[in-house]
Amino acid sequence: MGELLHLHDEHDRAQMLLPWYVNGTLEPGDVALFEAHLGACDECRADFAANRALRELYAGTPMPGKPERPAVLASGGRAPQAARRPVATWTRATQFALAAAAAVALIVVVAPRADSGEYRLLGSDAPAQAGNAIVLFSPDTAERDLRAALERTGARLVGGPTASGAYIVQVPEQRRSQALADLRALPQVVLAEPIDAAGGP
Amino acid sequence: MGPRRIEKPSSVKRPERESDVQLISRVSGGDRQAFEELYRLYRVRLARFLGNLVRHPQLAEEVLDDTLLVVWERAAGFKGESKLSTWIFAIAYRKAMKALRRYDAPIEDPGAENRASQDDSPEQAFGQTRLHQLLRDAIAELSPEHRGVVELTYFNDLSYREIAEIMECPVDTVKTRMFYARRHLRKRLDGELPDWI
Repeated sequence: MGELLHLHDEHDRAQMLLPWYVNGTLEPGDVALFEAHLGACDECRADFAANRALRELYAGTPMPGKPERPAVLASGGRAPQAARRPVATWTRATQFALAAAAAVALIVVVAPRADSGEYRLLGSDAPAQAGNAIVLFSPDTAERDLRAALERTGARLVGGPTASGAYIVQVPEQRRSQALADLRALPQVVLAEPIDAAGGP
Repeated sequence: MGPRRIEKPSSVKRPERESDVQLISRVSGGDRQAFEELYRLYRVRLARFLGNLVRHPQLAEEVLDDTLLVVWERAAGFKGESKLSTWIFAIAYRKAMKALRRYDAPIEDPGAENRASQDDSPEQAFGQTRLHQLLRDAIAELSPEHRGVVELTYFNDLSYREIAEIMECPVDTVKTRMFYARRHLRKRLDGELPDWI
């Protein structure tokens, strides 16, 4: 708490409360304290006016992270499925692992530059190249071990890692269960689960 | 005289608390439509909050993904003891700070400050005022914690108690962070704001 200020008088206390007086969220006791001081302090009155202007300017100033599209539209209650997209042509998929108690995972992919802007989920009626499994390796897994594990089980990397470190892979559909069992048997694999609409929670 | 309410910017839309509780309850029951609804309600605010905090578009997007994943997985854990927005922002803040710690190297995205939104027309992009740019520059110089407090106070209109809950710190820390942030912004914008002389 090295940055905590020591408050010496009502002016300092009022200064600390000022931003929340400006945004209208002060509790009644604080409001009374602030306003009692405001009436007697030219500096705080000027600062209040300035911060009201600052708040309006701030709220109207685009900041990094502004969505490239307006809020995505609901997909009409469609069951989560996988969005198919050529990885290279998209910025990054938004991926949600929807895990049920049995650790069944689904990855929800938000397409930030999609024309519709709607949420898409792995496994939909899209073209090829979607992932059909999610794999989470232990954090200390070396890159060569990760690669070897994928090669050994016939898995191909489709996406990831997400911020939580999971990878989306594609394994041959006809032997997916076996491939996942093989992956789970590896000591460095924490989780390996299928992802498709049917497997959702 | 009660607290002075200043008209909220149109970009800030707070759902009613009852609706929030009902919505998250549906989400906890596995209702994907409810989840999509919740996602739409919070995406704009969360994207801006995280983008401003981590200052790197791809990382911000990843943190947003992870935040929403936690919301989906742990919706049943929301007991209504706080506002839903507080609960969601707290998850987002923790994820963002964790992501920032994971990156030892500076991850500032120098282009982010000047990058126009994909939705901006060229006219809009060029029409961004010098004042907005000054403010963005000044905000970028703050620490993530200070940026977070400013964003939650002046864009999301949260109380200092809600912000303390989100940041898991004492309310005095929130107040002090905002004090220093304001002092910095005042110094950088001195004479630029009409009332700030």
